Amino acid sequence: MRDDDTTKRDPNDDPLWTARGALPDDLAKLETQLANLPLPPEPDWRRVVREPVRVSFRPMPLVWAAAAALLVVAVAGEWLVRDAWHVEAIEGRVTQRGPALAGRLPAGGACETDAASRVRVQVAGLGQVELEPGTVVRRVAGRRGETRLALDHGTLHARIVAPPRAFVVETRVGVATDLGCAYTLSLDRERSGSLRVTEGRVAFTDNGQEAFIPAGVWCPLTQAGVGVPRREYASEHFLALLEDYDQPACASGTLDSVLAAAEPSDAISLWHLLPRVAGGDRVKVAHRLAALISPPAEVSVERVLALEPAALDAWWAAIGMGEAESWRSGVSKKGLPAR
Amino acid sequence: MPAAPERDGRPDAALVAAARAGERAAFGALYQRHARMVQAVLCAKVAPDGVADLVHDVFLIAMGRLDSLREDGAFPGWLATIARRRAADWRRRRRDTVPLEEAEHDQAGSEGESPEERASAEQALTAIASLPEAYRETLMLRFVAGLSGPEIALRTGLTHGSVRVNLHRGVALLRERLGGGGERA
Repeated sequence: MRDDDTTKRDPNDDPLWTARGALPDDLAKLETQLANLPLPPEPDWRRVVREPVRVSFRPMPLVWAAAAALLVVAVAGEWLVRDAWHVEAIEGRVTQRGPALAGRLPAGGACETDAASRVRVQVAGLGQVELEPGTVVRRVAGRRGETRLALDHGTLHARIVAPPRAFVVETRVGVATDLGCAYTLSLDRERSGSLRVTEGRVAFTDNGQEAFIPAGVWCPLTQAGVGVPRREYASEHFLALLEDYDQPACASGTLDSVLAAAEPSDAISLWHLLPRVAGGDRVKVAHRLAALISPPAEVSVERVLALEPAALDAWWAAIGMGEAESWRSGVSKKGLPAR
Repeated sequence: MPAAPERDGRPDAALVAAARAGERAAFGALYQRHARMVQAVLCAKVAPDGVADLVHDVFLIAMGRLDSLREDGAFPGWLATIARRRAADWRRRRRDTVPLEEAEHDQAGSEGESPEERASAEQALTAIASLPEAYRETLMLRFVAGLSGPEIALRTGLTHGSVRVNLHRGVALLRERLGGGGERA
């Protein structure tokens, strides 16, 4: 069996994600087998007895409907202005596209810097983002309770004071979710770049991998997705060896050297390596990680090798990085925002 | 497998409203549209020999509770929740008798399949059932129900990122269990 197409990083090109297009042969065969599982014969629904239907109908008086509509229009207008983000040039000038108000970036608008400009964007109530020269960002719709920016290319420095997960930056490689921090995100037009966290922490997810990046750690971004997080001050030898593992399709011949060069503070990198390698390589990584940071008593090697989420999460906590769930949800089990 | 042509092209919300008003054919259309999804959720949580009966149970429960569904368009996610709860009930009752992984796969394979194909489907089901719980339902929804990643996210309440991680890791593990895969997940 092969693992080629399933690791494509653009979800729209990944048939495993879109359920359209040709899957690799092994997965296509699996899909055919399982999609043909027999369903039980459909019951004759006409003969099924059901509780009587209760229908309630409360017509809304026209006058109330009109008043409500007016109120909605007024509130929406006020919100559009108040919700817009302030944009100011630090150097050079600001270029805005799409919906735009003077000095403000409303939802759906875009902001661009040329080669000689730097711009500061005040994100209402959340913090600020500075754009380096040659950067394009768009303000896009976020999910409920979330403010979202799209970085098309360039470099941004974010300093966010909002609760975890309130500010999200999406890129063509993956999505960076702020967990209360300051960080620098760079991406060029060829989808190559990096994410460096200077304070707090950031979670980054791409098409199939998740990376938890605390302060003092960075990870490369490539067309293939998010690389392995590594300490800013890891040994040069370790950093050089680790580069092989940022690409999913690379050879694994250097793994022994990577593991030998790893120090206890590189446990973050080794933990992220676990799901990226398989078979005997995963055994080696697990044993080296255990030698550096003992797993909790309840975490057996077998559970780790099976990539059991609870086992991986428990080991992550043992490394001293907090509850893994708080990196995903932004909230610790105690109900307090995790920083 | 090519899906059977839909007998009613109305959106879920319209079918739910019609079914609530007593139109049984509308409920039948909902069954036709979502039975595979329910089957997938159940396959992830109960032994295959219990799936067929539970598919019916889930739809019967849903029919009886249609009045409690506040947002008609949310029917698929609501139905999936009923399936998970019904599966949990079933497992509580069977806990001391048949472990999931050891149960016979009476359901695997469709009529007309060769014994080899049937055995292969059983092997695939067993392999998925042996994966950590987080990956099971995602893979079943993808391969049994044929749902896309965003559709799985809607029905499970997971984020797109989590679904992608589950799909990616789940497939990698599945390949290992089925004897394939290289050194990279």
